[in-house]
Amino acid sequence: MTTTPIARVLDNVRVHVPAVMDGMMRLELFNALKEFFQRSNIWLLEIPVYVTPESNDYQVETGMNVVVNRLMELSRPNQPLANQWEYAPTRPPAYFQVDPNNLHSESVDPIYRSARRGTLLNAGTKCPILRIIFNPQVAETWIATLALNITDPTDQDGLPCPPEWIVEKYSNYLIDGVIMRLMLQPGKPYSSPQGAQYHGRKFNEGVGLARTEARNMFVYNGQRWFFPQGWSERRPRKW
Amino acid sequence: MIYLQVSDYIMAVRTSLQDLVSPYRYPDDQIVTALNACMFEMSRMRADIFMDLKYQRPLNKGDLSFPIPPVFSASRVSDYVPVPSNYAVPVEWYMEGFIQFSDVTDVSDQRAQAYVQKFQQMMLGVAA
Repeated sequence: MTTTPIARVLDNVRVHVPAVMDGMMRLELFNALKEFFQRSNIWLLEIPVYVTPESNDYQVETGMNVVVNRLMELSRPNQPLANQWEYAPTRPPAYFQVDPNNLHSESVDPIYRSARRGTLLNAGTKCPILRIIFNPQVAETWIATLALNITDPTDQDGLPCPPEWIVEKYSNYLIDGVIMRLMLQPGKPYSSPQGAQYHGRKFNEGVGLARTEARNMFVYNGQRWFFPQGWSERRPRKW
Repeated sequence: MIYLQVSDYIMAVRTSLQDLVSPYRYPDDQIVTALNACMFEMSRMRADIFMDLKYQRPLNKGDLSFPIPPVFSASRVSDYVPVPSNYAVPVEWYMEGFIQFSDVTDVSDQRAQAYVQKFQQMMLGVAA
């Protein structure tokens, strides 16, 4: 969507890359954003997945014009869901379903606890298939954290629709990404391998910063909190 | 970005070549042929110019529309030329050079060559 941050990015590119076509800027903005999200995993979305004992495969629908790039995590809800069974806190801040009438419920007997592991069968599509490895004994609600990326169709101006806050926060690096890609084009008034190298370095710096910030959840010198390993019932996940 | 019509280019070329009084030295057909030649040359050197409009609107699934330049005719002078206005001047340089090449007098060959070179410089450089 054409927002003020996007317009600012395009204006900056126009100034730094003389004689560039508007359509080319849009084309390379799409490419730069695609690479930015692909490498940084900064665009995250948590969606509930209703898991049943009978099926391993679930279609993930985001309801947005995006492609799902990666499955980052499968977890429990971090707050009680509305109109569901009562939830009791386990390891904070996760919640699990209390169903005293079901003897196979995890709340009744922890032996029925199932590991939340899964994989996306066709990552990179709009509605990928989530295949879980271990089925729970009763129907549960899991939370899938997904890394998203932009896709076609674009808006009426030919611009992709990334979250505005990301464009605003990393605008300088995105500008460098677009300029780098434009300067790499051969046989143009603005072709410049040296310039592309410089702006490419700045863009890579931005990708690294975004990836680190997303991993630390935007906490300075921070990291996501974990219990000590002794609390873990299984070996730590590989991803 | 502004896009000019075929008639705008015809008028610009006539003005530059001092061919404004009827009967014309260069008929419309000849000027439009020069415009078509320019489109082909331009698409070879700078395909991005013809992709400019394509990426200024939503690109939907199955939307290929390869940026092949259109062929104009003197009977439809109100057609729009899909070249942004900031590249209108090089188009005029090429058309004028192309037309002067068709003159039988050898003295204009050097001048025509200079016009085409000017076109090439403007297509590939910022300041030419």
